[in-house]
Amino acid sequence: MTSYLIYVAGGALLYALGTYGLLARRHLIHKVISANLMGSGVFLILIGLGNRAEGGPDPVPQAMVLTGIVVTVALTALGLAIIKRYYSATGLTNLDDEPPAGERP
Amino acid sequence: MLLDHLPALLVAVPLTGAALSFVAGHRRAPHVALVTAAAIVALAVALVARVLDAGPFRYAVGGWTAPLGIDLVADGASALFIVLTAIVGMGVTLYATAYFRTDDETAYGHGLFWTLWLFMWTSLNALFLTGDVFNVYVCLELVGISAVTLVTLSGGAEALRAGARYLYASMLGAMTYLLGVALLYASVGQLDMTILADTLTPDVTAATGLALMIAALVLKTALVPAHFWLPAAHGSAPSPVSAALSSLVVKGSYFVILRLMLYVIPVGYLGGTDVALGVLGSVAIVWGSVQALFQTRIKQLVAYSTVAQVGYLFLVFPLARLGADAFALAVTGVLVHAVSHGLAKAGLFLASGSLMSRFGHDRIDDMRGAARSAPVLTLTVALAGITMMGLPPSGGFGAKWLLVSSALAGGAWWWAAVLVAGGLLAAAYMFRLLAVLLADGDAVLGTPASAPRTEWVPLALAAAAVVLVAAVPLITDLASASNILIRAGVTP
Repeated sequence: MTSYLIYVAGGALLYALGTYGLLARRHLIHKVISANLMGSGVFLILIGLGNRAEGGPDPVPQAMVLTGIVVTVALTALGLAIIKRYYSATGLTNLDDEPPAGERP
Repeated sequence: MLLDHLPALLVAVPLTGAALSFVAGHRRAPHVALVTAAAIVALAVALVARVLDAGPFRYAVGGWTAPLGIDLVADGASALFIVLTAIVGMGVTLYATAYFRTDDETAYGHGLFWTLWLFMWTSLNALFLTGDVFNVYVCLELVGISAVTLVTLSGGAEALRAGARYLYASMLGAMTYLLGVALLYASVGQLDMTILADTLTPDVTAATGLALMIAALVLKTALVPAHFWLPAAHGSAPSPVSAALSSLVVKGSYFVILRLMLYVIPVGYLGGTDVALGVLGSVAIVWGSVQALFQTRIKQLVAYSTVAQVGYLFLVFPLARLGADAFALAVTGVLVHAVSHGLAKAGLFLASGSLMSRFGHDRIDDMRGAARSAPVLTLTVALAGITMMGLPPSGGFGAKWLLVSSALAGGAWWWAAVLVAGGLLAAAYMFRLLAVLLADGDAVLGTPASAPRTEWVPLALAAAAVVLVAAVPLITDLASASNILIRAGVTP
């Protein structure tokens, strides 16, 4: 059976798209979504590769994906919280424009 | 016996402290943190004694051994990094009790410092002890999440911006590292580092996975050209946080690279990666130093100095391939460098923080004449400078001596040239800072020193880095008790 290849190829595509978005997009929330796409891609690859063995799926990659999802949720929540505060402090939605002068920690 | 559980305690104690400091409220949290820090120092010293006495050992968490469970591995190298973290961590905790008191206590997030800081300490200890490549991912992310939050603690626009950039770099690294683990596991079916080291066979999937993992770790260690996030993050964090980030957090991901490159991955498995890392390290030394020379704000200068000092850590990889003598000397040298840079950089960042809060600004050129009114802080900067430049008898000198000996033992003088040039460049940017502080001038200190410990804690850390050369025999013993040297079958 090679159906696992569909998941691996799809995962690789998502990972590549996410990497492009994280690096090329300017909007802060687009970047967070892109990072989540990367994560979903990696999770698909893990699940797909764990499913190729004869005699049922390997549970270890599934455990890794569960842990990975928890970590990604935490990173996303932190990212959104920082973006929200950054937006209310500067009114900006990207990191390229200079924040208004006089803001020093 | 309680001491049998040392690796677990080194994670459990700071974790408990973090939880307690959260419920204790901001008035009692500093006391919780101080007690926790003292306990960790005691545990770290016990771990060093145990590793020196009985050699490396594995600890099966909950009694489940690898490959089913996740083993903790305590060897000479992990003990050394844990004791460095304990000493610097104690200094940062003491300093922070004064630093955060002078600020407005209702300020955004300051009450959270203690909890986040102890969480970060927990994750660092776990990272130094873990023997499993997937557990490394979890620990790295725990370090990353607490570090990013600590950077944004002040809530200022600049800190939030630096934190966001740091978080994106962290996310890119996290996902890439995990992709590497996925490919490695698909090929080998193992996650434990020791089992991996024993079972790795040439295979393109496994090699791609390991290369992705190394690339992600390089990004987290801020090796040039992946250093873009570091100066802003380390420069705009509150000073105790800057010290912990520059001195400890970059060492966390570096420690994993060290274990992967010299313990797990066989020689030549990843082609010329070791030489490539050495070349990037050399570029980092030059580029970071030149950038440091042109900074106008004190903490930015110190942060770029970290970019340069991180470069030295990567010279070990090409040096380690030059024969058994060069291998042992290079590993010992890089461990001495990691400790001396950790102590000196923590002292330098804390002293910069005190100078900034005394002057009320961070512009180097307006600190002319600070030596007269802040002699202890100026002395601290000078002592840290001695280590960065590698002048005798400092730890930096010991490290460079060992690394140069390694290059010469391996017959590769060009790496020695990089080391010498790096020392001269460090002298350039440190003297530029010192020249301003020592110059005649009329710099007015805005506020008097808030507490004596904002001066003597940095001084103690920087002085420890200067006398570290006396501890080189101890570090050599720890290096020979590290799995890296034991597996390679060489002794320093």
